Parts: sequence; structure tokens; C-alpha cells
Amino acid sequence: MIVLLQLFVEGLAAGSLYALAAVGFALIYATTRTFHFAHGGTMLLAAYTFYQTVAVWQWPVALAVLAALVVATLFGVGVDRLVYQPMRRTDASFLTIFAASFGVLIVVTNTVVLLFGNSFYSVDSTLSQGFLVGPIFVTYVNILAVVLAVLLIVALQLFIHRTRTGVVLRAMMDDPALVGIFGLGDRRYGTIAFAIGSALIVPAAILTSYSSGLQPSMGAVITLLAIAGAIVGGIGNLWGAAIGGLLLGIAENLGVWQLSSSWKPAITFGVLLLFLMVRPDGLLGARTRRS
Amino acid sequence: MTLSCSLKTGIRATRILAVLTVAVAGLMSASASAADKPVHALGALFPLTGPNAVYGTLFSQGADLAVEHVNADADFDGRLNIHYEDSQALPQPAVVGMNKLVNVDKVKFVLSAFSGVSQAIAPIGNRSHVFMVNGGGVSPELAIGDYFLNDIPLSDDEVNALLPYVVNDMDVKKIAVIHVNDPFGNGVNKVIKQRCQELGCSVVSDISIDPSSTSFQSEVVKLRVARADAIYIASYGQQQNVIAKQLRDGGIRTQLLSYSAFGIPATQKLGAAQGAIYTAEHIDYDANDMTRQFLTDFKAKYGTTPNYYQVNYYNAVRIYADLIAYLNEKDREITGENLSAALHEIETFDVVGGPISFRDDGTVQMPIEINRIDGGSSKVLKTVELSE
Repeated sequence: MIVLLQLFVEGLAAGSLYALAAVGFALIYATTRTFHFAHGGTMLLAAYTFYQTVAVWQWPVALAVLAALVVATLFGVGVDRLVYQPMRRTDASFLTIFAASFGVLIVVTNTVVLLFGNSFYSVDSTLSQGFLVGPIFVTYVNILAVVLAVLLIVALQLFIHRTRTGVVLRAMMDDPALVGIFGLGDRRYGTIAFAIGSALIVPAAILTSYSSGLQPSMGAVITLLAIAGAIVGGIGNLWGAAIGGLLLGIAENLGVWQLSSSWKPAITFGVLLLFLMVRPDGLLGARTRRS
Repeated sequence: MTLSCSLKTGIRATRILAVLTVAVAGLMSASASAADKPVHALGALFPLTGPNAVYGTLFSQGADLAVEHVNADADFDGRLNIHYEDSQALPQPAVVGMNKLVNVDKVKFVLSAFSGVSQAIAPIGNRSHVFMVNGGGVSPELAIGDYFLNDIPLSDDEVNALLPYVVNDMDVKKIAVIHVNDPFGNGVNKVIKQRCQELGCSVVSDISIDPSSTSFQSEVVKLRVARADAIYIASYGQQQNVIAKQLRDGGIRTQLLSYSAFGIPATQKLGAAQGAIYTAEHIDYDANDMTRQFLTDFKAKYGTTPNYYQVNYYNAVRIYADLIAYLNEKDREITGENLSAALHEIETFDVVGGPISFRDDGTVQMPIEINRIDGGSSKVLKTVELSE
């Protein structure tokens, strides 16, 4: 029982980070209809920027977080402006944009390999350590992951529902073309969606650099988890993506209770497959369509 | 005036021409004498890229220095030349590299590393009669024999040396094992279970992990609950450091045990690995003139003291040179079969660390030392002589 509870705590923390990645992906997809496969590249750049600034250059943590945030946002916006928007102007198909996005992720991954090599890096900090709560061991990173995910996802919901920009973004989720017709500039709001979606993955990147450490291959992994989370939750639904990401984190951790950890990816995509077969709209997808 | 000037110019030109002629002749004679010496190519299948590239660098330092020493030896009839291929520490690229070394580069001798890689290339080498020496992989499955030789003790030797020590001297009764799911990790896990049963200790948890995993939070949970007296880490490269760090971050203060992979500088300096006990081959750095020369030249060339991986690959190349010299002396052709026959005829090789010999199954027989990582370096706790 203690093992299950401890695995649940680990799953909650991992799921919180997946939730942030999935919400960012879902926001970008829902507003711009871009299958932003390079979303994992954003995390990769943010994580390595944080590592380079805080561990190598010894910058203060706040400044390093800011640097990671700037790099991630600029990358997301840059990819939208320089890759996706020109392609959309030529009426490129969904598949063409997806292929381009996939290419961007490969380029980013290889650039990271060239700059940092394939080695593993982590940022040493007491944050990755923890304390016992009864029989359960909790790390500071675990707590930060859950708190930041809740705060940021609630803040995003408030932004989406309470601000003018948020209203336009919601309108874009319904029909991007209509927003353009009303002269609101869907490209500008698309850029805002990319900026917010990219910024959301930064906490996941930073906390990962403290806990699991960094490797160039993690970009593709987090992209797949974000996509799986967004689909499980109901593609296009931000709350759904958050719940989907959380669910995957918990499932993959609880799943290794009796299985080898080599099964983690199989558990994640088993859950995805199950949802696609049983509930293709995802957890909250049907409600979105009705609304 | 004009005549004297042109005369002087002519004399100067003649002198320059003479100097140039002598220089070119000298160069030609030097290159001719170098070209006269037969080139003995050897292959090296090391991870030159990827997460285990750190090992490739270590291995090649030892091999390169040995080639320098052998080529500088006036008595050695020939020159050694290493052909490097990138195995990435993975079987599939290693097989591609091995095929190139055997079929394109026509090498008769290959340096191998990593258990999965060695197991993958061994059938090719045995089929093609190419001599292979592993100085880095330690899976018990590498006691392949035939054309496959290990000049590093395999992990069953390491476990056989370590377990009696931790059980009897440290009173460890419950051991947890976290091991990579590959031939090496599975082999070590199997040997620990067998040996533990004989010694009266028990394996309370054995967790297999993917070789590419870097997140071990759920494994930490299982290991915490196992309440073992010691945790044996059977991994390598960056991954073993990640495991140690995440175990310590997860509040586990249990004694860590491991094998020779913990000897790499990155692990020695890792805070989470301090206090870890690990085994390695015993090398006497004052054993003979060759060892002292190796130590001096290694420090001069690389600015650091060598570890046993570098010694192993240095020795592997020296063994190749000894075999060639032996066959030349006997006026026999340098072929895989003759190299193998020469190995059995020579029996004992005087190399860095002292004389070594090989068992029939291709494993090396040498003492094992038990070390503790302390303050960024290792201290020897005990040296164990293993029987046949």
C-alpha cells in the first residue's frame, strides 16, 4: 500500500509536468490548428539554456529562469513566424506542416547534441532532495511541480476567460478563420498562443533539469507525452489536456508497481490507445463539441 | 661586376639545390624505411558518439599510447595502425563496424568494448578468424573463448570477490540489485543471485531498467521499500551516476555497491557516489619497467593518471604486438589462426601491471581489488586473489 501511495505521489509530480506540456500543446493546436511536434524542442532549448546559465555560467536562478523563458518563447514564436505562417500562406496541408514541425524538432535535437554532446546533465540543488511525510518521501521538486502546474493552468484559464486577448483565443479555438474575417488578426493571436504555449513548458524543463536530468532525446519524449495527454484529455480542451497529462503521469508510475520500468512507454501509449478505441474524443472532448 | 654577381648567384643556387637534394633524399630514405616496415592494422570498436562516448575516449587513450610505444620500438618489425569504428556501445552499429573492419580494412585483430557489442561481434570474428580482445565489457556471457579474449576480469569474478567481503566483513544480508536490461546487467543479476544463495544473503529486490532511461523515481520507491542493506548498481556510463544521484535525492542512504564502471572520473567525483564500494582489477603500478614507462608517458600525454580501462586497452595492443613479434620470430604468417595458436604457446604476457595469463574460456586471471570512493578518489579496502 505504501509503495502504491509513493508511486502515486511520483506520478502526480510527473503528471503535473506532462500536464503543463500537454496544455501548451493543446493551446497551440486549438488556436492555430498546428500540430506543433517541435513543442519538445522548446522544452529542450529551455532546459539546456537553464542548465548552461545556472550550472555553467553560475547565473542567479531567477536570471536563469528568465533566460530559459525568453529562449523558449522566442523559439516558439520564431517557429510560428518563420516556418508555420509562411507555409499556411501557401495553403500547405496539415501533413506538410506536421512534417516541417517534425523536421524542426530534429534540427533542434541535433543542434543540442552538437553544442552539449549526448551526455547527461543535471543541475545540482537541494530542490531535488526531500523529506518524509509519514512513510511517504516527498521531494521539493515534486511539490514545486504540482504547485506550479495548478497555478499556471488556473492562471491560463483566468486569462482565457477574463481578458480580451483570451476571448479572441477562445474564438480561434472555435473557428480561426472567423477571427480573421472579423479583422482581429489571427496571425497576431496565433503568435500569442505560441508564446503562451511555449512559456508553459518552461517550468517542466527547469524542474526536469533538477530531477531526472537532461538528455537530447527527451525532446521527442515530451512531445509524444504532450500529444498523448492532449488526445486523452480531449484534443482542443485545455482542462482536458491538463487532466490527460496528469493521468498519464500517474498511470505510468502506478503501472510499474508490478512491471519493469521498461514498460513505462508501453503503459503511456497503452492508455492512449485505450482512449482512442473506447473514447476517441478524449475525457472532455465530447463536452467541448457540444458546447 | 655582373659576371661576379651572376657567379655568386649561381654558387648560392647550387648550394641551395644541394641542400634541397640532401633534404629530399633524407626524407625519401626516411619514408622509404618507414614504408619498408609492414603495417599491421588493428580495429577498435569503441563508442565514439552517444551517451557512452566518455568510455570511447578513455579506451582510445590507452590503445593510442600503446601504438605509439610499439611503433617507437626499433626491435619491432612493423608498424601498428588503428582503424576506429563507432559502435555507439550498441550491437547494431557495432556489427556494421565489425563487418567493415573485417571485410574492408582486413584487420586480424579487433579491440572490443561493452558486453552487448562484444557478444554481437564475437560470431563475426570467430567465423572470420579475427582475434578480438575486450577490455571494457564485463558480462559473464563474454567467456566466449575461441578467438575472443578478455583482458578485463568479468563481472562473475568481480561479484565473487565482492560478495564474500560485504557479507562477511560488512554484515550485509539483504541486497537489492538495479541493473540494465541487457546481456551485461542480466548476467550480473544472475551471478549475484547465485552467489548470494551460496553465501547466505538474499536478493530482496531486483529491478531491471532500460539502458536509455534517465528517470528512476519509481525505482527509487521500490528500492526504498525493499529496505536492503546494500544496493548493487549494474549500469554504466552516465546512467550509473543518474541512478546514484536519484537514490540519494530520494532519501536512500543505503550502502551502494558496484563494479569496475564506477572507476570512471565522473563517478569518482560525484557527490552521490561517495562511500560507494566497487570492485576493479588490481594493477601494480610498480610491477615492471613497462608499467613505469606507461605511467610516466600517460601522465605526460594526457595530464592525468590512467585507470584500468586505459591499462586494459594498452595491454591489449601490447599483446597484439607480442603475438606479431612471436610469429615473426617463428617465421609464421600473421593470421587469426596463428595469432590464436601463439597466444596458447606464449601463455603469459608481461604487460602493464605485471604478468597476466588467460583461461581456456578466454577470461583473464588476475587479482581483484575492492575499493571505496572517498573524497573524489578511490581507496583500496582489500585485494582478493581468485582461484582458477
